[in-house]
Amino acid sequence: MSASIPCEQTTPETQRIAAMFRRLNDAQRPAFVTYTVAGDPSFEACLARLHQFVASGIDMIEIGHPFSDPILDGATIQQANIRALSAGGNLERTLELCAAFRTQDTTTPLILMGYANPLAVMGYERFAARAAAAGVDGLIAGDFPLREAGPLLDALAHHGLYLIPMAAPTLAPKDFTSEHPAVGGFLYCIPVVGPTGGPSASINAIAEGVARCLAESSLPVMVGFGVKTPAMAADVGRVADGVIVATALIDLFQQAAQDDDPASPDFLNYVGQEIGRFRKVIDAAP
Amino acid sequence: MGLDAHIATQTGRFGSFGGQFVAPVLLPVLDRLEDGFHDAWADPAFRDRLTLLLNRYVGRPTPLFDIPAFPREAGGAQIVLKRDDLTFNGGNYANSAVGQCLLAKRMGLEAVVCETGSGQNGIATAAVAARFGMGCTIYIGASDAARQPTAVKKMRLFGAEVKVVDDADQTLSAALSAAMRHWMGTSDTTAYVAGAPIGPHPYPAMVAAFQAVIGRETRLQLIDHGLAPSAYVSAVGGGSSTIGLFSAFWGDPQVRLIAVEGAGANDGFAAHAARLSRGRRGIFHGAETLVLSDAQGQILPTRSIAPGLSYPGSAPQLADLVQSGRVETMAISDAAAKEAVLRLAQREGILLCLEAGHALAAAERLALEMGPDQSVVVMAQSSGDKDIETLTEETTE
Repeated sequence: MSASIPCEQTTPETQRIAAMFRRLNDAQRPAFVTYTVAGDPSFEACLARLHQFVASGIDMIEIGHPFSDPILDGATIQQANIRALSAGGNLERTLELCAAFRTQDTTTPLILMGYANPLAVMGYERFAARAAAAGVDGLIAGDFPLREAGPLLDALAHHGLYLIPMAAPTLAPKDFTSEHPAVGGFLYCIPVVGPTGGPSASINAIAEGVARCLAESSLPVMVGFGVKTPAMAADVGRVADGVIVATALIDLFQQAAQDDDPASPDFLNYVGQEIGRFRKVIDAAP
Repeated sequence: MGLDAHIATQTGRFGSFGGQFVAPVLLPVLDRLEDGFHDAWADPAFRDRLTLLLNRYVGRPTPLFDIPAFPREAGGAQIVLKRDDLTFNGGNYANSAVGQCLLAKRMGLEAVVCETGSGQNGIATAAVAARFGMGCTIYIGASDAARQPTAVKKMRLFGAEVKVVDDADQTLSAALSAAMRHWMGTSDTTAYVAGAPIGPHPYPAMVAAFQAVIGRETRLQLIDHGLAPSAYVSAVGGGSSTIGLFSAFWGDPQVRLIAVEGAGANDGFAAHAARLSRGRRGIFHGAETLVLSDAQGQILPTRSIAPGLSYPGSAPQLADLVQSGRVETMAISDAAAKEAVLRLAQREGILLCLEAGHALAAAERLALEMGPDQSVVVMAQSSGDKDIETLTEETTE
């Protein structure tokens, strides 16, 4: 592990992620998480959508900071990045969006998700300070594996933020576990190889992947990539601590956005209905 | 400055540049590749096979040749070309395409995927894949494909599946991203063939090792020719020919190594490809390196008349060598590069690519600062056949 020993202990100010898992554990429910690209298609429409997510049953939100070259993403999320960028989106505006969200919602964990270059250009220390001040709880950096993350992890630890480790079936434990205090929050289990929006893994393969994660790590395990339908989300929710649905929901919302103003009450109602439909099936699973 | 200062140390770092900034799913694939490469590189049978293919299939060694009629003004240093434009397929890209396909075959993989900007890496890889009976998928940006229709046809003639990418800037960068996505989903059967010493470790070190044959040959040929050049000049796209040529001369402190970048349409640098001299430190396509990005870390579009130079990232090894001062940079405009290519064709009967035209124009300026007893080596990485459309267009300036 290349992560160095931090100068000070992580002292999360909020512990929103841990509080969420405690709450869901008491209620015997898996976490239901979705993803949206910040500023897609505008700052205001996106902010309204984030609140709608929570109102209709989302427990945690992954917020993508838009990037010009989203190499790990399939067509759906590539297009979302393009829409957000053309509306003036970037890492700074994303942090402003998080801060705006926090003025009304102090409990829903926000996980920033995106690519390394904007973080590197902002500077890890400056980024971590600003993200913490904006009410961000953790970071998923798709092209920032733990073996490269030493300086980033130290900066995150100073400001009480987590880097969410990503696990895949082919990965050695050293590539998704670490003693560094900034590595935590939950373990993001990716049961398939390939970019986002790709094919789905079988529920057996997912269950095996989750079991391996639980054997190697003490973190709660969430499954993402390739979860497309309410039934599949429910299956995943049975074997993991949480399920992440991103591309499938963006595709649905995007279809509706062809006809509707994405900030209109009609569109937000539709978002709520679809989230609610997933939530209902997930919660009904035995 | 010794050689030791510029070999990859811990996990593929060149100084503070390099690394493995990839999706975690690719880490085991890269680890396997690193082991496979080290294993093959240490195996005399592999090296012999590689040398045989380079000599008889690629057409090495390529000649070193002077161009006395080229300069506009007499009296400057002699300019000699290292003529990798004379390989059979794909210019200098053939060196690493042969190496990487041979390695993939040895590792039991059945297909290869790559991207191409100038078409040369695609042609080289398609040809070698045909020879080895491997499946081959090649991504090319829509803008590059439109500019180089013959290259696309040639790849298809070799049996490659050519996929035209409409994303982003429709050039090399977009094609590379698409090839990476393809590879992420198929890495159990498919090798990614890097055209340049860019991307995550071990690609920069591995491609540099396969391209080092250019510098080794040049060194021996210079002894034969009785030349001790003062400078080596190479245009930088991904950096494969530049690192290949320069690698034999890092340790000669008396010689200048000059990497030439595309300055685009004019000297105002509106859109260009000069990221070694004007880029900022960032993380792009798998490595920490010098990148053309804005203050928010968004990758900037690049522009160059030479498709092979139009790329916003850079080889981490070159980034380190530029930052340490060992390698100098120069920027040459589209018009100057095109003029150099046309003049060389008319006066010497040698048609080089527009990429090499940048190095040629830079070398002519350098030569004028030197005496006639001195010499300058210019890297000619591929032929100008692919650029005939652009070269015969009426100049609008």
